[in-house]
Amino acid sequence: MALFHDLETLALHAGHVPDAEHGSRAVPIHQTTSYVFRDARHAAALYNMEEGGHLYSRISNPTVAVLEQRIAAMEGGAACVATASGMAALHCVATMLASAGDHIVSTAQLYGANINLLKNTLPRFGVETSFVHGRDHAGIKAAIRPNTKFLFCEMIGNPGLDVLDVEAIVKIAQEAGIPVVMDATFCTPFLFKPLEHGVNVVIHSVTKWMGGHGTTIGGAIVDGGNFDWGRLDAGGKNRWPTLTSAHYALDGIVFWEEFGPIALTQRIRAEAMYNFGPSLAPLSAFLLLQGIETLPLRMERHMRNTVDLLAFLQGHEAVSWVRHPSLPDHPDHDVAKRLLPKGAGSVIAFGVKGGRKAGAAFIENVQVASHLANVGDAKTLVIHPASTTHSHISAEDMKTGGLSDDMIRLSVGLENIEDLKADFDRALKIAARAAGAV
Amino acid sequence: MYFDVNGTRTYASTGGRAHEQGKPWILFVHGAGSSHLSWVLQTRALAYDGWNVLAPDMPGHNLTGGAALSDVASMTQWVLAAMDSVGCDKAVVCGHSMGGLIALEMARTHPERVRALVLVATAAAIPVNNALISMAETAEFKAFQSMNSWGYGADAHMHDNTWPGSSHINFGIDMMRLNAGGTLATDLKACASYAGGAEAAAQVKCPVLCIFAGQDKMTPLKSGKALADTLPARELVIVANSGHSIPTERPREVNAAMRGFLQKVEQA
Repeated sequence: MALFHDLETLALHAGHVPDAEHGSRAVPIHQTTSYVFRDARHAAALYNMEEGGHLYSRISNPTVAVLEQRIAAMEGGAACVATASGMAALHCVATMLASAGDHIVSTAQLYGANINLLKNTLPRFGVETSFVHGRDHAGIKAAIRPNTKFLFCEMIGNPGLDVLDVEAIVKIAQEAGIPVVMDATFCTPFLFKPLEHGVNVVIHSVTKWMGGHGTTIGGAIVDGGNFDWGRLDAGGKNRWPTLTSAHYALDGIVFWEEFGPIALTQRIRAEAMYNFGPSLAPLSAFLLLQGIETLPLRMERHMRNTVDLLAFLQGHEAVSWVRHPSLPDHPDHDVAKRLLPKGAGSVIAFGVKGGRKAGAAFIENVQVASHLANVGDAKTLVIHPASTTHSHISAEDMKTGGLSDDMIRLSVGLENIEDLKADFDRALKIAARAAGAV
Repeated sequence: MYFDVNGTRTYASTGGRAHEQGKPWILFVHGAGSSHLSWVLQTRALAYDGWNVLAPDMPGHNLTGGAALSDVASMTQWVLAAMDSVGCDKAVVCGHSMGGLIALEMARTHPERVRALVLVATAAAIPVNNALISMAETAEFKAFQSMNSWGYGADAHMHDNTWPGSSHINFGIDMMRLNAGGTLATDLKACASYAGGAEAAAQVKCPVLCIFAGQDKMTPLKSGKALADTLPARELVIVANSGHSIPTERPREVNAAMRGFLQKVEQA
């Protein structure tokens, strides 16, 4: 008999047991800002973090807590905090671990907004980031400084689809004594569980495959509970003083001493949620939970359709190139085969013969697929990153991130595969005529 | 707080409040492979209630240095020394699982130091499967997983939690990871070799609160009840829908029972 429930069961049940009074099988939506205290002592107990419970929905909410516990369970994490978006999740982690004068090392193959937060926003508050290519392991090692607070990476880079050799990255971080924070949005725990490979903190944009229906923006921070925040720096000082020295409130609580494995998420709850307020709405949590219930089923279909569409695109005369980690010519093919045996995600990058003009004609003429700025929907999505999601980053960063002008990003949905092929075939032919390329 | 016990740098949670002269003391003794973190939902609550809380990590556990102690007798002596180090003459002693054995030994050997006992998910004897001890010696992480699978009830396996966002089981595994290597095996052997529980229980004179769990696979309810039957002045609270890790699984029930009991202890 297995020791623990498996992913399929956790996706349906984790975090929620029907309450004794009503027995609601579905997770109830606690659409409330606040909660009546039993008495003054109870109110104080909640503020003092003496006991679990909810006092104000900016800090925590029963419906949101179910989502958090479900994601923590599915990732194998000690705790989770849900946030209003994936970007809020990264912002919370960065600001709870790093302060002015501190440093972050990041792989360069990132989602555009992640790059902008680290490169343009955090430096205004005194936190600097060094970007290094995910395959440049020596460069990553060399970039780590005494004041580096964490190493940030994406498992599958968006949209370049570089796959990180996470075990090599974790080894570098462990040798340097710093934690690895990974954005695993493109994998979900169905394809890859970062904590099992030594990652310490996992971030998700649950807007994408986790929620999976394109209805709801949300993020999550999973505390791996597997990092020793009590390590000292070379000078004998606390390297993560936000977790190991007295907090400004709660009678000077030291989160690492008091909460151990969940120190980071408790600091996020007690400071980031209080002072920044990036809370997830209860209705959003409910919608995301509905999506998560079918994550394992959807991911199987996402991956099956991806395999079929890859073969279709590779064989199409109007397509100039196709990129996906499962293809042998992808530079990270071997890494993907080793670390992502159930599939390397359902995003495909490809070029339409005729360049930018043909690419634009393609995305304007698909009918089943939708032209929009999202990935991980149940529906198939297409976009031209150079003119949209990544339009705010420099040409140099575009190149570093593996983007080109003619690149189409395709997020493969769950439609009937023959309908998708027919839709793409028709749009590609129009694109070819528009560009005069074929 | 950090302090010295027999030359070992020791950490104990005070529940977030500094000790004050004149306040009553309550001591929390953790179980095998565990640490003060297993009591986090009691220590802060009782400290803010006005108790001087002392929840030490025993040697080799979490933030305390040194190596794990090999038998219940030496653990008992160490806990008494920890009380001495912070100026605590007498306390209500709460023990969970292996900590319950230590609490019983304290009551037997030093009754003048024990004001009352709170025995949580424990028994007079805690036999340990040899296969588990062997696993703890040779494949420690697997033993952490097994202990935390058996150590929680059905709702905790569904990650239902009063503490928003947290997973009992994963927290439990991570808590064990914070101990020095080999600590769990040493603790389990100490439990298995302790045979003095029945004799100690027979000598207990102070008030006792027993809090046992209906889904306990580590110290089954019937063995807890058998212990309770030998205690002269005891209250028995059974939390039906909890596994072995009652302090974190059902903190509301545990704290309510403790507060009612402590009020009577204070009034006596």
